[in-house]
Amino acid sequence: MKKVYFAAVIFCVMFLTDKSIAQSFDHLDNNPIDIAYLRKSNISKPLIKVIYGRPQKHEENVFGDQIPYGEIWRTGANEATEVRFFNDMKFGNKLVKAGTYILHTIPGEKEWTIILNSNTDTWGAFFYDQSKDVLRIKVPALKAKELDIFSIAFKRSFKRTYMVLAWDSTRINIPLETQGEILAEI
Amino acid sequence: MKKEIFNIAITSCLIFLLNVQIQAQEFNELDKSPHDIVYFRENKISPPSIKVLYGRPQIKGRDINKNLIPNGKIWRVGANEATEVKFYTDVTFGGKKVKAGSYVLYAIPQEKEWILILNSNLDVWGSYEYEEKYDIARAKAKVSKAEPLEAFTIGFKEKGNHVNMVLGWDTKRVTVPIRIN
Repeated sequence: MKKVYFAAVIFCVMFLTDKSIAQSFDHLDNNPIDIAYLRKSNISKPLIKVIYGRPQKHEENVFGDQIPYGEIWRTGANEATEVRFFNDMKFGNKLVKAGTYILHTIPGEKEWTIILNSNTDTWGAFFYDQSKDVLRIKVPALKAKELDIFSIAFKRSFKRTYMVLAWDSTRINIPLETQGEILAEI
Repeated sequence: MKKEIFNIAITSCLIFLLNVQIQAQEFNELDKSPHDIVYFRENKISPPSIKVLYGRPQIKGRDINKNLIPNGKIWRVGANEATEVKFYTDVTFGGKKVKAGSYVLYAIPQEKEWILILNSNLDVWGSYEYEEKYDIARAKAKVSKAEPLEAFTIGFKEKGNHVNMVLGWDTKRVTVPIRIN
């Protein structure tokens, strides 16, 4: 009889342990991670790599409702958005050294503040530490077609290359240059 | 006259359609096999020791052994962009010393034992660009069975003085020990 009891306890312990193993595996995220590369051509090494979470629109207006104006935003979902520059570059009107940074923004109705910060591998913007800012630039907010899923992409327009933050009807175009040369051939 | 109007109408329709299509293609849809990030930290508030960025394909009624994981051939260990592993300090990966840094993780799946490969040719797509000359370390990984997982998953399990990196998909579990130096 004792043996049966012992076996039951062992079974329970095994079952519980098993459960803890199952929980160490994460489910698919509702706001999945995506990667955006800037390359001169499909086969060349990347110039910029962005790793970001992609939340979806679920309020009438994303900016002003879902994402408040005037507050620091992780510019994505979950883990803070990470930008890696493979070369020294001009980001907006400021120089940034090759390296890995997190991207935060402060959305505004007419103008956004874009922040590169060196406090990498953080969650959201909860650990934002202004003393680790590497640069801040201001970029006007433009209007375009509605987009349900937050996207970061690289676009070329009139011989200039931009990193574009796009969600709902808002577009933020950050001009990019590398080594004094405009990225016209991309 | 009628023909002219008709032509103008058709042309403007085409321009309109083209324009809409270009705009729609401007931004990517969500990936069917989305990426995920998993960190290993010694405790919740400590800085990370290991970070893995990988694509998560799902079974969707298929047989992973027949359709999804090749046997005896190089596999990207995920989906889309090759899986990237970052060690924040030097580690021992399946018995081999590996310097802190980022590597691409590949696998050669086999029935009883997988070979896991760390390779230094970063930012590549799938395993199409795999070149053995960039290999940094190869480790043997044990295959075992557990409860089924729909989405391919990479996780960490602390075990005594080392951590196991576990690849899980369906009932398959592949485990490689990593020691953080």
